[in-house]
Amino acid sequence: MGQIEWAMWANEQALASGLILITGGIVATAGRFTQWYFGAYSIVAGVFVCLLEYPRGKRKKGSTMERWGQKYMTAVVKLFGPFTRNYYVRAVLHLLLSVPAGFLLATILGTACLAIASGIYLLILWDRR
Amino acid sequence: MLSAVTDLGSIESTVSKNLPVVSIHQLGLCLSRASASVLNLNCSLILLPMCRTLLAYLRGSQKVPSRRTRRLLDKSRTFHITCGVTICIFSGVHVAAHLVNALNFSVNYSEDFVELNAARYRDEDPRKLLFTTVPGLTGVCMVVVLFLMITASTYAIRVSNYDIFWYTHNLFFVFYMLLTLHVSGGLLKYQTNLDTHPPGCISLNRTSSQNISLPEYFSEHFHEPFPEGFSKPAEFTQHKFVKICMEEPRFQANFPQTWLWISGPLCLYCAERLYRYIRSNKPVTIISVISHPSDVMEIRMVKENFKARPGQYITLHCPSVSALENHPFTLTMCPTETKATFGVHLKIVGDWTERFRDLLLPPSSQDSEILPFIQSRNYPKLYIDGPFGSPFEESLNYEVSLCVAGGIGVTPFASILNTLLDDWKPYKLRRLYFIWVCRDIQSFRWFADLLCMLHNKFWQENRPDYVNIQLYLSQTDGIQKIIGEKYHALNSRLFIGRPRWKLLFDEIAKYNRGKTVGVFCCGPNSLSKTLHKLSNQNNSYGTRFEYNKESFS
Repeated sequence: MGQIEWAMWANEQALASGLILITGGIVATAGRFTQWYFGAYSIVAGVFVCLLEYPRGKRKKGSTMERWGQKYMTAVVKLFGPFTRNYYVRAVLHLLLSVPAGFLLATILGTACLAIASGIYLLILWDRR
Repeated sequence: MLSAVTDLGSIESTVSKNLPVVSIHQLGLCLSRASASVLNLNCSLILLPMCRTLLAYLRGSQKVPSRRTRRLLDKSRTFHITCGVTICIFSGVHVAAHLVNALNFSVNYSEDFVELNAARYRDEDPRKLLFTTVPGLTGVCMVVVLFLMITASTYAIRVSNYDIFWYTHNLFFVFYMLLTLHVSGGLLKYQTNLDTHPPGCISLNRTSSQNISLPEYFSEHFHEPFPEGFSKPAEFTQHKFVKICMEEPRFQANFPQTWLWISGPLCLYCAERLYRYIRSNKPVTIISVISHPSDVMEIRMVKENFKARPGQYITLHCPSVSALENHPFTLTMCPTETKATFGVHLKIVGDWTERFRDLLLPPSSQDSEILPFIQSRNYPKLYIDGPFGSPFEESLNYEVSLCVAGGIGVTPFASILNTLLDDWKPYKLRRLYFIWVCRDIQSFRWFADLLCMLHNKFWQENRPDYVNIQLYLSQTDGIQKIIGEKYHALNSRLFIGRPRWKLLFDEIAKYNRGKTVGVFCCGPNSLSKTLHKLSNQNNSYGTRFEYNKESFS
């Protein structure tokens, strides 16, 4: 179990959660439900998470399959330096981003999924300690 | 897709004919019911390709005589993945539609038909609906399980961290249990007394207290809410005159169709797993362990009542190495009537194989060829599961076969060659082109003996054209190399550099005009793609090349 690289899975989960947030946000704003502005927030948060998580991180050993067109996003993500490299920052960021979406029914699943991704990032840190 | 479209069509038509004004909801219900139909079908079909013992049996049995049907079995993994992707997409549709439904149920709470409401009172918070009802809670849990399974099943994860994929995929059982509970909520109801209370009928009790003229009444009340049961809609839409209600409408929950859909495949799959577990419970007896050059180890073993066809594979499970992991290896030697020994060749690549090798071949004796007899008492317990079918079994059923192996990919063909060495007459195969491409000259020593023996056997039986061997050394440092002094036949068939596939295909087509040649490849993806493309091209000799592919993750 110690050989498993969880970071790759956390990355996939966060990317999927971003997409779920965007979808939930669209459903919420299109239906003009009460508190639909949470839906609008969810779309923005989803787009941000997707862009952040699009570059696939390099594996410890073995070759990494890059996502198509990832090098453009990598240049942008690298600009923020330690804020994006550090898994602790990512875990906390995802957790904070997921909370506002939890208030609306349409986006509650996005919250759950992003929280799980954040949990896996925290698991990596706990594992390393 | 067909089930979704027909369902959607029938629901939409009945709803639109009867309800210009719908009391509870319309589009959300249609979408969720239609996507539920698709999910029913896919959740039941997705289990079938995973019944590998059943598929191996079908492949070998006389009941499937057609080669075309057997080739369908080669695509079982692709089918499984397609069903998985469909489940993913339609779950998204289903969840979105139900979220809209939940909102509508609470906002448009109907006082007329209290039983039909999912909400308990008007404007009930939809989040409460989601988390306190059985369908809602199980639905949320299923989405979480599906999320974990799907994110871990992507190609990148399977290739790099197979463990994550394997452990999360076993959550499918939780998913099915939740699915069984999810549909037992009894939310969808149908009306049981349609004869005494047909839709659109007028309740005399209510109108007697109101002083309105009859035509006005008709125009107002003709648009009565239509109950959710759609069992007999057609007849009532045609009626020109209005009926009188005898009694209040009564509703009963629909029988959960999902149980009918998933019970069959789930029982079949459980039966198969039980059978495999019982069959693999007895450990094998390891006869010998041989160390080959280029990090390859051969294990020969025996097991009671073990039968396998050439080309099949088994999975090895060694609790001393890892309690949970199973690893598949193709059989390089199958048990025959005279000899019960079977064997596998393993390439030492990852941590499991490394630890396995250290248990079987202690580091001190890894240089020598054969393990001293005295060590055999300390072999760890080894369990095998299988044998499972693969497309390579088909190579004996073509009149002419082209088998291309890359490196360790030679293992399925080794069992075919061993079988031909034993007895070639019972099979349809009359000519075999065997091409083996390796990077390192020492790799050819894994089966050099086998190839030489085969070559000599066919020369002596006066069938020199039965097996055509070509060995290619794809990487060279310029020094002239030979496999070994005693392997004359192989040294003369050794070429340096990569094979020129187009020329090879043209040559095979020329010498086998009008025949169907089976092409089999076990090696890197790029090799497989090249051969696939060449097999599908036309040639001027009328020879057909049929490409048979096995997908490895």
